[in-house]
Amino acid sequence: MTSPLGGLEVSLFLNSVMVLATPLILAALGETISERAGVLNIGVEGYMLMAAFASYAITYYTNNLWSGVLGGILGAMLISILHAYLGVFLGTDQVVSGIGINVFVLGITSLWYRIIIGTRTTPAIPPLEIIEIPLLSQIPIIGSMLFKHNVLVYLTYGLIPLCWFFLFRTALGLKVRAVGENPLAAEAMGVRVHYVHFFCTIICGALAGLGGSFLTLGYLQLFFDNVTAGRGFIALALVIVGGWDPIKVSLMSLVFGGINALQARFQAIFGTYRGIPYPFMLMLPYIITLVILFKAKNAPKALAVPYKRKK
Amino acid sequence: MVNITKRFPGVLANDHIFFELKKGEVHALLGENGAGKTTLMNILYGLYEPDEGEIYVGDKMAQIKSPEDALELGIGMVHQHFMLILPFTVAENIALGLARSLKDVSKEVANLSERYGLKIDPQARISQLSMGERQRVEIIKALYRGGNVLILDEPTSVLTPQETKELFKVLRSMANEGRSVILITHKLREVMEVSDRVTVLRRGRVVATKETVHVNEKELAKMMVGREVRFELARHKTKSDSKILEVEKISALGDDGLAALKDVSFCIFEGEILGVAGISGNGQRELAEVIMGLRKVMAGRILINSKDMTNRSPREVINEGVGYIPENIMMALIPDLSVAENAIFGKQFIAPFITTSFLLIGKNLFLNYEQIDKYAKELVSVYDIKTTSIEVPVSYLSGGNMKRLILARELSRKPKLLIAAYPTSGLDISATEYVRQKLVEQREKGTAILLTSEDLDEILSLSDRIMIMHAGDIMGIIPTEKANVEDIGLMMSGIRRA
Amino acid sequence: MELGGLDLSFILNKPLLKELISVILAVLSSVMVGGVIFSVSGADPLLAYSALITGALIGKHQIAETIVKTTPLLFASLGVALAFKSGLWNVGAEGQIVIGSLVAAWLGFSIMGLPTIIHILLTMIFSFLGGAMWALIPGILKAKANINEVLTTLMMNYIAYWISVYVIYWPLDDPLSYNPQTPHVLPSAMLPTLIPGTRAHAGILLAIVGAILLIIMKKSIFGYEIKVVGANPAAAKSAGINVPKIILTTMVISGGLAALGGMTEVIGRDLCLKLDATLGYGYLAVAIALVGNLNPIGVIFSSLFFGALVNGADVAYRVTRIPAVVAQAVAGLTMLFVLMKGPMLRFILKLLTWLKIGSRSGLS
Repeated sequence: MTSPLGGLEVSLFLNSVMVLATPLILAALGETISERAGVLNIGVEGYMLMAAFASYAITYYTNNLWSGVLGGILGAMLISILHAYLGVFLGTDQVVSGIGINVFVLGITSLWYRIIIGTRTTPAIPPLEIIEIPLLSQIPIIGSMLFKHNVLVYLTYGLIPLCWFFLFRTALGLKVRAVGENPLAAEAMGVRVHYVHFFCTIICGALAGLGGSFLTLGYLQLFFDNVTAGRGFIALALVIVGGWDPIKVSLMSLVFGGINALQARFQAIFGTYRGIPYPFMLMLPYIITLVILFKAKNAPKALAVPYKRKK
Repeated sequence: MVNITKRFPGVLANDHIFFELKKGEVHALLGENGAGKTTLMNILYGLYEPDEGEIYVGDKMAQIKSPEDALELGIGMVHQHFMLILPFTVAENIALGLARSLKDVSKEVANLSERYGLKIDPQARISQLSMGERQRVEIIKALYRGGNVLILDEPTSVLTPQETKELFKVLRSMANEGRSVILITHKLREVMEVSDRVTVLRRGRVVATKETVHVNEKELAKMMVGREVRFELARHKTKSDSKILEVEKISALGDDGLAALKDVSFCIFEGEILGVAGISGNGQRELAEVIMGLRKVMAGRILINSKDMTNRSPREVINEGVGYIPENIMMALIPDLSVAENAIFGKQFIAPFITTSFLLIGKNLFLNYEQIDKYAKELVSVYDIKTTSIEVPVSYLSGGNMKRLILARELSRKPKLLIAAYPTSGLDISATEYVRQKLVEQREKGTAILLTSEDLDEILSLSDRIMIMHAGDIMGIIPTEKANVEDIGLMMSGIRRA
Repeated sequence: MELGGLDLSFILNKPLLKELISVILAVLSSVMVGGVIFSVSGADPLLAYSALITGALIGKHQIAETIVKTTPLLFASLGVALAFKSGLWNVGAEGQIVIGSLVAAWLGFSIMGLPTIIHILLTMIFSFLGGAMWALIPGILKAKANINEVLTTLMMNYIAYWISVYVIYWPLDDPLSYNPQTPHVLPSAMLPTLIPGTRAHAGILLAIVGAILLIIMKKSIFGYEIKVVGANPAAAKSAGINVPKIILTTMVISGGLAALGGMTEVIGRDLCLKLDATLGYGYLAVAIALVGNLNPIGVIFSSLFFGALVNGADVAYRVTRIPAVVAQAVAGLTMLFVLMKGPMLRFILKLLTWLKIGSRSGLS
């Protein structure tokens, strides 16, 4: 068995950290924007799952990865629009509607997957091209971690500061944060709270959709029931730990990705015969999420309170 | 505003109202609580839409469907409960919804603040400002958008007498500039002091619009209420030496982690009303909460009936004979539960509302619905609560009747100590009189009452002694005969001590 | 509003009637949309639905199987409904069921020489405790640190799942079978058969007893306090209610009930624990609880409906080749429609008025 500290090993490992972290980062960014506006979006898991399925299915049919990515994002956004409608215009409780969306998406993606692929072995999809950025990718360690990925990861790099900038330096971002703190006051200032909630939910859908598409097209290259396995929920916890700040949230997601990668590595090293059965490895992310949930401070005041406009 | 009519379920809030505002005038909108003043102004500001009627600004008919529209027409409103985002700075609050840079906004805020003598730092965070300062932010916010018309809803409820004088100076100077001010109030003195004209509303209708110089307080009161109003409540003096409540050097933290109560000590005797004066937000709520066991005491002792009840659970405090009428009705009633179920709120573990056995299961686990219904019906009849039955959800009741239910429930238990926080807020005059009467009656029966109120007049007329609070500190405890409004005002602002 | 001379606006004023009609409407609309899903997936909806209905309800074996499918769902949704009623979003039924099934699987085959009654009783108690503990952890986190119980219970679900994978493949792996499952439970642990010749077992009776107990509990002080805490925890404090105690007690009972649902699958249906035996039950239970409007009687009907749906879907598969997971999709859909029940009712009433040539009477 090769030493886990060999040079090549380290760079591969770091690379995988980024790959594992990317879907989390995207879902968490979307959720951050949503929660900053006061919407506790539990449906983010469903958005991701729908995107994962849609992107896979569309790529399977069209053999075009880019239509797959776009299709995935669109699928997720459609679901998020449905969810937003339930929450914003019908005033449904956010938690319940989120769970409903997740149950529904799980059912329907499992159904359509079986109908499309059936019980044959899952056909794999050609992966997205890996683009190595010249010069930067040659930097030892960091180069391999950050600059040897497919385009979607690079896109994510850009989205992180973009989200931060949006929330803290734009007028629209100010509105979003105001709505999350005191929707009544915001309304009195002429801000349309309902529209803001709607808009943020859809943004969450788009970002989570990108994350879901990346999950299947950029990482797994296949689909199976409940492929997201709770990543959306973990993203929820990451938003809390990251203090609702896009930069910190992304860092937390990166750390979590690192833990995931470590767990996969240990699994490979210790395997089934070396003592620790694999289920214990696989339950680790969820246990860690539980542990980090102790840190929920500074939530936006109006989080999870449905806003009812008096007429 | 012509022919404005607005209906809410069960209430005709505005009934074909005609209201006219002239340029450069301070126009008071006077009426008791529930008369429809705030509703009317909320319509003007676009928060509500009228069922009938039109609004004309200048000579053109205006469609005001949202605050945005109102702001565009130059109409700004300062609400009774401030609409400010606490973690944001002053500039951020004012810039909200605008497409201007924060720098520009800050500069203009500084200008406005200079011009009107409303001192405020644009970079300060709202959470760090006092109530008076926050109100200045609200006014600047309203002025910033053009502010031809400034609506103020009960602005003085959070101000000391001195700050009120300052505010009125500002309003007058605005009017002299050509801006118009609408002042919503139920305080007659204010109307006389600062307004040019006054419109009196009663039960959603306009009673009259008059030039302020042509009326006096008594006439206004009569118009407001429809009959002669008694301002003095007869007070009997029965002195007792038995201390029902003793608070010794209590310190407690507020929701924000800062000290809300600092070394507070006082006592209340049997058959006495201790009125707590002070601007709301200076520790009154936290005081009620520590006594009830809803908030942790960091230091000091609370003795009820000479028993140490410091940091005990609310259930134990209730069992000791303490009644609680909280500030917020929603803390004392559950809207979806029936009247009967709300009647035993806080008493669901006390006989006779529990049965000792049910279907052979013993041990005081089940509720005795027969007794509960009987009790609820009694309350409804004795306290004259208007409801179609005791089975309907309590949300069907009007605000005034909800308060009656709470009052009935707490008083009928013959409490030894009653904590009444703002018991008359939001009630019309007859309900207010009723509550005050009942409080005095209860006092005659020997109950010790801790009364908090925003209305200094109410405190003066009901209390035996007055305790003034400022920033969690007690500035003084004085017998009512010796009370002097000026001094109290100074104590309320923390400037003086007794 | 009038329909053929009948003034319909009274419906909006009778809360119970309104609820019933709204739920029926929601179920009907989901059935309709489900039909659309069927046809989009390449099957004839009428054929599919007739297969569903006959497969679930016509015939001794079919009814028996529906009862079998309903039992765990009823247990779990009773638990979920209780938790929701007290304002606790316990979505951890999935994991609580698994824990219950694990405990039952182990006790079922490992203790010999016990009379049946004792064995079953023991299994019930410990399965209940297992689920109760599983729910207690998120409960404590919520009561002490106000940590969002949705996330914590969800995480517990995944953890429980992997624990079950471990247990079924390693320590409790049945050496006599190639499938991943635990050893066959002893005869003394098996629930008696209800309908001879079928799989229908007495578990359903236990579940109904549970429902009755919950109905009785509504009349208790505890039931009252749960309602108050569910409506407004802060106000509940002023009413002298020990809110943390209510939270913990509710979670414990809720988790325990769900666990019993897992138990019935092991000692009633499969007589061993198979991997993924209870997959998806917990989330179905959430849908069922909502459709049943969070009260025990509604939940009984609701779980029967979903039990029939799940069973029928299995049968419909053989006829239409639509995978049985369609039941999950329809369940999710029904849940969404139930969430929309209020506005849907208003919309339908307005539509009816518009279509009929009746007169409108003050509907604001």
